[in-house]
Amino acid sequence: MKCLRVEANQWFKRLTLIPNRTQVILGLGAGIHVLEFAKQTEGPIFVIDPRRPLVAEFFSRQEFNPVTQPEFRRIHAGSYEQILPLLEGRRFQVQQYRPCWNSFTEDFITILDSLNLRHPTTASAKHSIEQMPPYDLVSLSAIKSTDDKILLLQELIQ
Amino acid sequence: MRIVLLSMLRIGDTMMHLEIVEGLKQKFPDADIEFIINDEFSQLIPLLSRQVSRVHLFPRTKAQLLIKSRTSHLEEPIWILNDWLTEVQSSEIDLVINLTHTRVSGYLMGLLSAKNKIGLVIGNGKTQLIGNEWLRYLNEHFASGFRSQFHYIDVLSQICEIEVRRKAAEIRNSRRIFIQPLTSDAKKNWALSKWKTLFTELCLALPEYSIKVLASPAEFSLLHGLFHEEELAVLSLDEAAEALQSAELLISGDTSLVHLATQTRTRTLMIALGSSDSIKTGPYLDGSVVISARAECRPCDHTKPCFQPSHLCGQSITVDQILTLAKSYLKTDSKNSFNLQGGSDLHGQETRKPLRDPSQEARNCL
Repeated sequence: MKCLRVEANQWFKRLTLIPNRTQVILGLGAGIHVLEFAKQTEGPIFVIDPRRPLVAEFFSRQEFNPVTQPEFRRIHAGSYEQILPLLEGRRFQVQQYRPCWNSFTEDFITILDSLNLRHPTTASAKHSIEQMPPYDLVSLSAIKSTDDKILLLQELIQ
Repeated sequence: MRIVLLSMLRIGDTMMHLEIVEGLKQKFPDADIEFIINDEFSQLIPLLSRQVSRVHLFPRTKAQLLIKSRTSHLEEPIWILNDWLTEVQSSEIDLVINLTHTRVSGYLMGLLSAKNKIGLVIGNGKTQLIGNEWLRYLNEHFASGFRSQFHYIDVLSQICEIEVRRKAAEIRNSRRIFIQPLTSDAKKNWALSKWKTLFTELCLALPEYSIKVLASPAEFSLLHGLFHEEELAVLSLDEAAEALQSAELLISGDTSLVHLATQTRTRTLMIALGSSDSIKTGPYLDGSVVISARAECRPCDHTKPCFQPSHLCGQSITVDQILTLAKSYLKTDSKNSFNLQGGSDLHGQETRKPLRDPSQEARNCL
């Protein structure tokens, strides 16, 4: 247990957290790193893992700081439609908890790419194209960005 | 009154923009003047903070890195830029001036809300030049490959409708000389072997002087093999500014240090090679000297590499010429008495006429 805590602590220290972002932890594992994360941050946390339903259930029942209460979701790789409503309208940052990705790396990477809108073949891409506003844009990053200023910013950083 | 200046080119340009800050302070003595610069030049903050109220770092590099990073959300760069814009606009901006005239700065002008704007603005499907006719002059003459009759600062001061006075170099007796051999562009570099010979010859000819070769921390590895460690002064920009304040002379290629020396009123001998155009962006300091090679291809396009089989302009200036010039320059006790003793055969020593009657010149020019 102590060993897991040390590992969780080291993992947290390596992270770069962007202010004012909803934090999404990809990978539940034994959940110690989630406790560590909740202890050291403020704001809502989402934890996504395609496996471990029992651990997820256990953690859902734990009492956390009401602000940082982590919300758990069990999502299968590629099922982007499940993730989208969860994070709709939020500015979020995905943190990878790689120690628990063993044997499921591909699934986790697919979820990571879907969350970050960087998977070209999953539902996220289809969703992006469907949602694309009627502008002459070739970038998927225009999704949800109908605001002129955001579009301008997109041009600007390219 | 809050004035925001967009200075989104390179360090040397931002150094030149400090002259505009001075002019604006005279016109608007109560104004809070702020700079927006690119985040890759964060090392400028200590220097600029002495003259302006605030320096905002436009997160351009950060956004570009995030765009490429698979582990960050595709929209993260946009979120970051939005956050940054919100912070910059936390209080009302009275006047925003685009001193840069690039696409990025134009878009940013379009995004910033301000009571008044001057300069290139791109937004809502339109590209506009807001201000007087000098903006058109800047656009037409300061693009790469075009010549100008006026210095960049003179044109900017006309655009901002302020008075900027060219300062005079201070004649000092500190017995300290700095040499800055490397520029940001290989075309503008004089051969390192020539700099080494010049350094050695200067040390022999002027034993009473302390002569050091300036290098940024990034340049150290390039110069370390050629110069001994004790001959090098590895300084940050801020430290270089302090060092130049007491220097008698700076000998340099076309670098940001030349413009820093203008701020510290240090006499400068600049070697203009490649794309360096001293009429446009030479040292804005009376009493400084520019030695310009007379190669027919000069000044060349700064965006392209040298197309000649060898670096003709660099080869046309000899160590002896610079040495003779430096020695005779140091002997002068007034900026007006300097002449090219023994150096009059130098290729195309350029002299710049300060803009005496800009409005008259403008009528002829526009």
